[in-house]
Amino acid sequence: MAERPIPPHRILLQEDVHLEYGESWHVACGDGMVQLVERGGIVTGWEPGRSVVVSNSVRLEGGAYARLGASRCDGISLKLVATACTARDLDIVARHSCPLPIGSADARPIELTLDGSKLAGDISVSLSIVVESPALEGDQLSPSVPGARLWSSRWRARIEGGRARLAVEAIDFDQYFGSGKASKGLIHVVVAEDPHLEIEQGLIVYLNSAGGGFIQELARKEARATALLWETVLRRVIVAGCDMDFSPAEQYPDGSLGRQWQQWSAIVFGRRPPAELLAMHRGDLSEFEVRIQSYINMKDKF
Amino acid sequence: MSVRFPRLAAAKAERIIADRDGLSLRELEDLGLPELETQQFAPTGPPRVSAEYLLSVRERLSLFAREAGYPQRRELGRFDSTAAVYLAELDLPIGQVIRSDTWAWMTVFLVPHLVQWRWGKVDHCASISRYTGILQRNALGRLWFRAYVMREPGEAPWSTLQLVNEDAHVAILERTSISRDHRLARAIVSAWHESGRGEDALRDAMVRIRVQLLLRDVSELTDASLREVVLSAFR
Repeated sequence: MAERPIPPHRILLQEDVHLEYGESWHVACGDGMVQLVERGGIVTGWEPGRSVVVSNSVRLEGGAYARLGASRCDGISLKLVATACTARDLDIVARHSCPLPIGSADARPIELTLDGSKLAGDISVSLSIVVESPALEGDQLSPSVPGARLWSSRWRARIEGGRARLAVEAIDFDQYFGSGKASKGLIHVVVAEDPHLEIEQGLIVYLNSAGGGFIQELARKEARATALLWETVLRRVIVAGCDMDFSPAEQYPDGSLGRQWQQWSAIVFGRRPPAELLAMHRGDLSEFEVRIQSYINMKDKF
Repeated sequence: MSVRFPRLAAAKAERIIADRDGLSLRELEDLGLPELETQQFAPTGPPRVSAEYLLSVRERLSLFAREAGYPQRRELGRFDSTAAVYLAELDLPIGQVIRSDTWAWMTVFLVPHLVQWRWGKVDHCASISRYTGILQRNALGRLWFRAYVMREPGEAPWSTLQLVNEDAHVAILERTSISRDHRLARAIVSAWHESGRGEDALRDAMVRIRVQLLLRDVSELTDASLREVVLSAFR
């Protein structure tokens, strides 16, 4: 696990900084309604042609400057810096910075306007309070360089609107598997080898286009068809992840295939190692399957 | 450029690639494009890209490969360099080309012969990550990304790009805490080039800079101050 270095100067603590919406940020897509989106939540209504406005406000609590060991006249000035990124931090899409005046009880608004066409998959906002200019006469623990981080916070949300979360396609099974080999099957699930891929890329569910009734029931969100679909998907993903040596301990990215595999495996089977799950799948298939059925709550669907 | 590009999920691509196992470069080159009507696009947005446009991109990339010795593997760096600039100058829509599934479609259907030529061996297929991996690993996506990050404002946009070799690009671009800040990434390349030192020095400096980024926000520093921070990492 990566360790953060200890700053060589005093920093602000969480209780010194008040974010107006706590763990959440306000998000507005185009002219749509403002959404309050918590950390790790989902922004709905995103379209490439519309801008996305992300906002919050920050206030320093009364004791913040005392925490830094600063008096009101020693020359230190602070700045609020917000950076918005997308595609799992691959690209910066907007920045905002403003002074954070000493001793002011007013909240400082932050507003980032993002070009919707430049977003992919998620939005993250890194918010920092940094030193703009250091104290004139500080002690050894006074922050001494411009840009020194005194406090930081991070918020991330997935954006939705462009794609279904579970990628489902209807195909001709005769063409896919060869004539007659699986023509009466219903569901085929393909799981990619790379656990770091987004779930939409790493997991594809194929439905037999000849099974029109089943597809229509799914479209209507009928309980039986939906349960059957999820039971198949979970079973296939859990086994495939174990087979392909996905790690139960590694910190896979939010929204990734690996993270989803960890969640499903843990919630259905507890924190059992993949080797044990595979052994159960081979040696006690019925219990393996019934545990998944139980998680899906299959008995209440019929 | 305001068009929608097709996408290909990795789970789907892996099967297609597995089915092609053993095809020669010539056979890969002769594979046609699939019907775009049957491909997956974002459901909303600008018009879909045309097959003619995609084929013109394939033609240009194939030309660069031939100039670099294709089908012989002679001047791979030359291909990387010219293809990176070409892809960046296409002005592709950022929100789409920063997604790995857009590049997965391009590598699987548009230029599979170039992926095999650039990353495969005579008796060994190119790694699946060169088709469906993260942007920085995709055979084409990584070229676009390096030009996107290293592009300088002004009249000599590719001056910094030309300073960096393959290993250095990997060292810088696979660290998103650095590559997302294009100004910082370019400052590192310039400082490394000025230092005249080898890749070990770059790797050491990258560690120091990443630690610095945890302690210090450099995004608001002036160019001169940023340069000082980066130079100090090479001392």
